[in-house]
Amino acid sequence: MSLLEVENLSVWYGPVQALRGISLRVDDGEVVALIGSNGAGKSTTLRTISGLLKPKTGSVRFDGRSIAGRAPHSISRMGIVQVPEGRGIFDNLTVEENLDLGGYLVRNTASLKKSRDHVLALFPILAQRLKQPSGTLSGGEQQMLALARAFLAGPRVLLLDEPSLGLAPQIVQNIFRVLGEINREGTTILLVEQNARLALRLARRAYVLETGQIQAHGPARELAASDAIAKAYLGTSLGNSSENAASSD
Amino acid sequence: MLPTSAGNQPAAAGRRPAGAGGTLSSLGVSVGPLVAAIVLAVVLQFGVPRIVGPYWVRIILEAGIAMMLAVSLNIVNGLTGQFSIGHAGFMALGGYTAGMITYYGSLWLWHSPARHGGFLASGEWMFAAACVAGGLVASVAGYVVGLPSLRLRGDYLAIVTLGFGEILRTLLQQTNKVLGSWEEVRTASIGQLVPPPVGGAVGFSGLPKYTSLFWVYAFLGMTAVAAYRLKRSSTGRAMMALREDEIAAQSVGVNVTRQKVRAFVLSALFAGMAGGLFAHEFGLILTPSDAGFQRSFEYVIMTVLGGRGSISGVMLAATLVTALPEFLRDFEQYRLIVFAVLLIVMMIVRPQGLLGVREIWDFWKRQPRLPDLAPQPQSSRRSASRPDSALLEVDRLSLAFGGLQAVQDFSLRLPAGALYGLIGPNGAGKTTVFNLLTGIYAPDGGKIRLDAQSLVGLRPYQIAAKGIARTFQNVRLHAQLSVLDNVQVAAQLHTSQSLVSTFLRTPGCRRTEEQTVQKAFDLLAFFQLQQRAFEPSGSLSYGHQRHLEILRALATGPRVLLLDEPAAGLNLGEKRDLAHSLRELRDRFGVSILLIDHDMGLVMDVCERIVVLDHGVTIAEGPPDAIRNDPHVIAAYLGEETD
Amino acid sequence: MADFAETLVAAIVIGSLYALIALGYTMVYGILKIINFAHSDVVVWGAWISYVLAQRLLPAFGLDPHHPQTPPPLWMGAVILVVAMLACGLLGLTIERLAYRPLRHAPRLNVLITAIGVSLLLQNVGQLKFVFGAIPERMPALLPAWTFTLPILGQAAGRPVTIDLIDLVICGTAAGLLVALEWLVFHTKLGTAMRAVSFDSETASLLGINVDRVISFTFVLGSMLAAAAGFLHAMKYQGLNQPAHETWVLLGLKGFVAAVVGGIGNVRGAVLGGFAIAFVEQFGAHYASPHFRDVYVFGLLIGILLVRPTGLLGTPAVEKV
Repeated sequence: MSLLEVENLSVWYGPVQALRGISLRVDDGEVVALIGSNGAGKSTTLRTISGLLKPKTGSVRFDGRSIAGRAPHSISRMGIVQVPEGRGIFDNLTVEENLDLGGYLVRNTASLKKSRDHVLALFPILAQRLKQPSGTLSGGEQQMLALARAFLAGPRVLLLDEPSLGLAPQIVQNIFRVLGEINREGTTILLVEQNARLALRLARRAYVLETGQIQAHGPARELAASDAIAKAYLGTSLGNSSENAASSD
Repeated sequence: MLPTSAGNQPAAAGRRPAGAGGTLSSLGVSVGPLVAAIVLAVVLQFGVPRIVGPYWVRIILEAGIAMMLAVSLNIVNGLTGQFSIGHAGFMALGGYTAGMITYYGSLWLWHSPARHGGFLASGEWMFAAACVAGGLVASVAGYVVGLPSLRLRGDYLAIVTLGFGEILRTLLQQTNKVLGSWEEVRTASIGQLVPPPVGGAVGFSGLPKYTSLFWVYAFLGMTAVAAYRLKRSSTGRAMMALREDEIAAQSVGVNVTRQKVRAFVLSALFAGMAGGLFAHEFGLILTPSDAGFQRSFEYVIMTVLGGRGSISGVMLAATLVTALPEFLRDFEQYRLIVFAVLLIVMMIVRPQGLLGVREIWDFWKRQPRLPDLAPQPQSSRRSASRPDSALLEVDRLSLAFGGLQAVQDFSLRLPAGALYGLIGPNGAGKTTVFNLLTGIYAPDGGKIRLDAQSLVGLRPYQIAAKGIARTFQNVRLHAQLSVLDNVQVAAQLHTSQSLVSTFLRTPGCRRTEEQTVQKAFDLLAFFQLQQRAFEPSGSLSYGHQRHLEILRALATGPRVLLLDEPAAGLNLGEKRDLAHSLRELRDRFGVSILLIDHDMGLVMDVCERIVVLDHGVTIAEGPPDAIRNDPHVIAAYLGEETD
Repeated sequence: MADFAETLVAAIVIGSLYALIALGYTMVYGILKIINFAHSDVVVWGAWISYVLAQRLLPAFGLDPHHPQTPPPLWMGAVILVVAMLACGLLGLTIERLAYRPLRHAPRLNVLITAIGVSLLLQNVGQLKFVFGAIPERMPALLPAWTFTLPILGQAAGRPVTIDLIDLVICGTAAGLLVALEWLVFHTKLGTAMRAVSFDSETASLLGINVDRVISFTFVLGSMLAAAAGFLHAMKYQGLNQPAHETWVLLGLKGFVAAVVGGIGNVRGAVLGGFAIAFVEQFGAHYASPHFRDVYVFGLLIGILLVRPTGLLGTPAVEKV
């Protein structure tokens, strides 16, 4: 049994169908990437899993229990923690207060202190900025803060929505290095990412989304070598050049 | 049929949609409904007292005044979607003004502040003129109160209107110190001009009681007809468009501030007249607390209960709110409790109000007939003004949000008749470029020129008038307006109608209306949307909404069309059709197109040149083939090769 | 100078009351973006509940409930204050559950009409015979009628400047509550959650924060402060108008104006706004004309909004396109 199982999920925004019967699974300890172009339905999938959207049909099971239709806060209590697109930093709070909210549900102060020390070691820059209003952080620092905050919630599955969005390449490298580390320590990750190469290097398996449907899935290495990705990103009428792009790996 | 293609204009003026014409157009101004209202008022004046007793006569009279106030408030709260909670202030101001006029007028003409003459005698005419004057004074206040809408939005504007009402209430309480008291009037000799008896907190007593069913319903009829004609005019359409989406309304040339201020002025005008009626009602005294926000709330309740924008709806609600407590009179203690509970329950179970945006007669009226239109030969592609130079020239445009450089040194030369693409990964700054070009953001530096005219510093509606139109990434239609209205509000950009001609529905006014309807239908035909013309645009499928948004932009008669992800959410077949349509509309309407889309296949297929943005910086520019093989572009999309 | 000192004292006392009321408006607005017009009626209920409690408690000490011959023990006032605050907290909770929660995603105009409905309901239920009744009452004195001479101000003024015990109690109670609130909002996990929900409730829910519960708690907190303001107001002015009387409406309205002047949604702004309008009102009344005190208050409101559209400490709103 997988840790997270999504079956035949359909989601509508008013008259628009955003997801057309998506099924995917995430096993314990894996990094799974969800890739595809803008508007393909990646964020919608994450938002439905975390309870922000209600599916019209289909099921979401976590650890064998059905969670579709539950309130977001109760889903996050079960151990599914989402870092939303655009990071969701509370600009009006300090860095430290943002981190405190990550540990909002954790009752055990000793273990909270331990994991706090741990994330501050992973992102040392945050330790220097604890008292600073988080609205004054740079984009990269905000993303680190969002990750650190989510980590403090003690997630079993981290849902990450575009962690590389709008960030300079070397910062993205740094963030993905830490993500690898967090995963090795046992946190399962479902990653939505537009930067396909980066995502496929971190992930073990990946699903490719196009207009609300899963077009391809499989081990990350195989997908990286195929032309499915280039097709999903660069359009179908690109022909030869898309294969060039993919095979240049 | 675009206003800029001047050669076709006379032909359009000669044609009329068959369904819309054939009414009173040959009689000049349309006065039918106004006459009907007067006749009804006379019937009420002489008929009602024969049927019911004086108690109910008074309730019918009060309901009439309440309807007038609710209908006038609905111009601000319903049509423009602004939020005034100071409406009673306008009423009181109008009432005090009218009262001063009848009081002094009566003393001057007839040496007595008492009622002079019977039905339609000279005293009554002075009273009617006083009510109109009260309306005019109130409308000046409406202008002053509406002005802050330039800076303030939503709740904050509402708070200013509340502050206005409260200040007025306080000032009126002090009137006896300035203007004399009732005591002075009573002891003064007949014929002597003394300050009118405005009596501070006690109120404006001693006025001649002229208000009758006739006058109330004559004024109400006038107000309702004016409000209804306003709603169906270009001004009303612009107001409703800004209610639905302010930014989209600006993008089709609606001067949002001007329309809001206009709404306040008109709303105050009718409220002031109603105040005149209120002040001269038998058995009532207009007091300063009538200007306060509690009374304003009553009218707000009526408009929300009736349905935002529905004139018959708010009239129904005003009647119910006035009469309902009378039916509950047996439960004296509980009637306001019942009313409060009804109000809360109503908001929870029927949030759109009794009638929503519809009118009572919409419920059994057939759908309007479609104008019988032959396909129009469209204007062919315009020749570029100066073939060598670019139509739209953008030079080193920059914008930073806080520390983030959203757009840096963006330059572009878009020739007439071109179809260019603007691509880049999420967050690259593409939409920000559009927002800069359309005046939603002011650039930190750089130049934007359309046909050698600088556009920097112009407001969005001015840029629309200069000839740049756009669509939005997340479709921004005026959801509750019909498909036709969505296009018409844009098509009326280069027309003008005065408010007076709107109220009188002059032939010129109707002709302009028919022309914009015609133009809108011509455009709707492009995507075969004519059959859906009278449906609310929010009920269209997503693909049709995307189409409609493009047509709305085209209706402004643009020279440059900016399309923000028109293919997002479309399936493959729809995308193929869109690609075809883009070329066709470029050729047929003679516009230059700049296209943002994430579907690279589409962009590569249709665009002649492509600009690629990443982190606000242009990383490549050239024809599709060059872009496709550019390593920077591949890296930007698929991620950097780092190892 | 003595006039100045006395006006200053009055402004501080009244500013404390406005600040307490403004906090309820501002906290609810900060978190739900709605103007809770029923808040001023919670103030009224706070005052009337205090009155009813005093009527019940005074006879237990053998005192006349209307005109106690001697002041009751000092702790009785404290008990009444706490009970009134708890009762109004419960009232706030009920209002939020029944009237506002079903409208969480409704247009804001509707929520405003609901607020007016709730306000009407509280006013008229309050006037029922078996609740508070429709006759004005007089709050019995719960404090000894002591006055103190202010040392420094009096010397500067050249004649003694006095302050009543009740004024000290008002300032003291308000200061205590403000400090407690400041601590709660800025130094506890729950307060951090409140601020997080007001900034972005969706992300807050992703972190396991039960947004509905935080909202309920905000209503409870605001209503408790309103009850305190009602109690203190009744103690100072003693004359207790019937619940639907317009003087109450004006008091609530000024609390609301204070919240807007300070920047609605901002807790510290509400306190600042409370004192700002009290100063303008008191000094205007004393040095210009007492008849136009409401004009000064609403004039300040409009002036501030025109210069700073979101109030003194408010953050400007940016619309995303």
